[in-house]
Order: sequence, then C-alpha cells, then structure tokens
Amino acid sequence: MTIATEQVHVGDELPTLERVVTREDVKEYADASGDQNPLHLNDAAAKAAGFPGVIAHGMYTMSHLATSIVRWAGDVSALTRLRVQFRAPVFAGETIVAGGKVIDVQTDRRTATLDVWVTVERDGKTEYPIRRGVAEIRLA
Amino acid sequence: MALNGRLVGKTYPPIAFPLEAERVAQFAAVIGHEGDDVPPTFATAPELAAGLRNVLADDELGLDLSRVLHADQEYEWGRPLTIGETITAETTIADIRTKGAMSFVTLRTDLRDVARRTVVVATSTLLVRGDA
Repeated sequence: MTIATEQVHVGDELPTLERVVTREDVKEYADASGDQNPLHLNDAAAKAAGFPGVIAHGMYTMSHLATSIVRWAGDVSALTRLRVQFRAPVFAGETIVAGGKVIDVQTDRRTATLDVWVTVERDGKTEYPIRRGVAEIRLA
Repeated sequence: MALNGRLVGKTYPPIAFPLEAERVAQFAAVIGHEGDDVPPTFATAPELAAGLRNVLADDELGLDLSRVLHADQEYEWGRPLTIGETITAETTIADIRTKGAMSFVTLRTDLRDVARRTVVVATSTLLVRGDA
C-alpha cells in the first residue's frame, strides 16, 4: 500500500538499503536486462577501458535505488519519475548503499519529490556512483 | 570519431517486447525487488532491446559499444508495467553533442502498450569516448 501524504514530511529520510554487488549478480543482471557489454563481464575488456576489473551496470545501481524507493513508498505505482547521473563506477565485490530524502511535498497534488543517491565506501572515502538523483512519488 | 550530428531526430522502427514472467522474476530477484509485480526499472529490458537492435546496429551513426559509458538515465512512468503484456519500444535520437574528444548521444524511447498508450518514457544519455 502506498504511503499517505499525511505521513510524508520535508526532511524525512528513506531507510538506507545495502547490497553487496557480486560478480554473479552482475552476470545475472546482464542476462535479465540484455546488456551484455563486456565491460560488465570480462576483466580484460574492463581493463582496456581503464578500470581495474569488471564494473556493475549503471542501471543495476539505479535499479537498487528504485528498489529502496519502492520499499519506502509501498507500491511500484508510486514511482512516477526517476532521473540519475552515473558519476562513479561500482566494482564487483563492493557494497552499494541507497539513500534518499524528501525535499518537497505537494499536498494538493498528493505528490512528493525526493533527492536520492547511492554511495560506496572505497579507500576510506565515500564515493557517489549516483548523487543528486531526483524521484517523483505519487502518494496516497 | 565524432558522431553524425545530422541524425538528431531520426526515429527507428518500433520493436515488440513481451513481458515474460520468468524474465521479470529473474530481473526482480537480482535487484532485490519484493513482490510479484514488475519492478519499474524492468523498462530497461525493452528499452535496451530496441537500442541494441536499432541504434547500435546503425552504421550511419557509428556507435562503438566498447567506447560507450552510460552517463544519465531518466524514466517517467504513466503506469506500472504488467506481466504478460507486449510493449512496443520506439527509439528516437533526441540529441548529439560533442565536448572535446567526447560525444554524448541522448536517446528517447517510448514504451507503449497494445492500445498505443505511452506507459514509460525512457531517456538515456551515452558518453562515447573519443580517440586518445
């Protein structure tokens, strides 16, 4: 069931959602989505493109973010728009963490706007594979 | 190699993509989606099927997959996708820009149902690395 307008306030944070991105997940995502770009499947191809090894699909990271938004919002029909920029790679074996914050609630239209992101801890620093994504939510 | 900017506005023939339960379940499992409905970002599968069939195969455009990185993605959903329906995916080259050695190509793909209503609009910007 979709979250109600009255339950949503500017500044609310979404529960964070973690996932370890395994090499098998990346392979499975390639099969399910149809994106068999060798950057995601073959270390030699990834190295030729300047990465240390295979990288996860940007769309895999975006899908994880969408999963976290749908869990918070309560229903797939609540998500009406999602826009992201892919700003950093995610390497196989890393843990991605999706997060978000309510930045606007349009009470009359029963909609909300979220700032959303995905982080990964790498070499003691927080990297943002997705930063300042925008999600539009249709509330109940 | 710079992409052919004159191709902005080109629309490719639509492809038909049936939403099969098994494939949707495989996709849902790997992205951690709960429930039996279609994850919103499953839209990628028909979007990509159209892109691979048409855009990457377009010699006139000359897109080299080994030089492509995904820069930006947007989905606008009119309603959730449903298992068993057949979606048509029609891709248009919305923009081509060059920035130094890099090119950016923006593709708009309209996903429509059998009643020709738009279900999802997908906008994807690809970064194409130039020669070093």
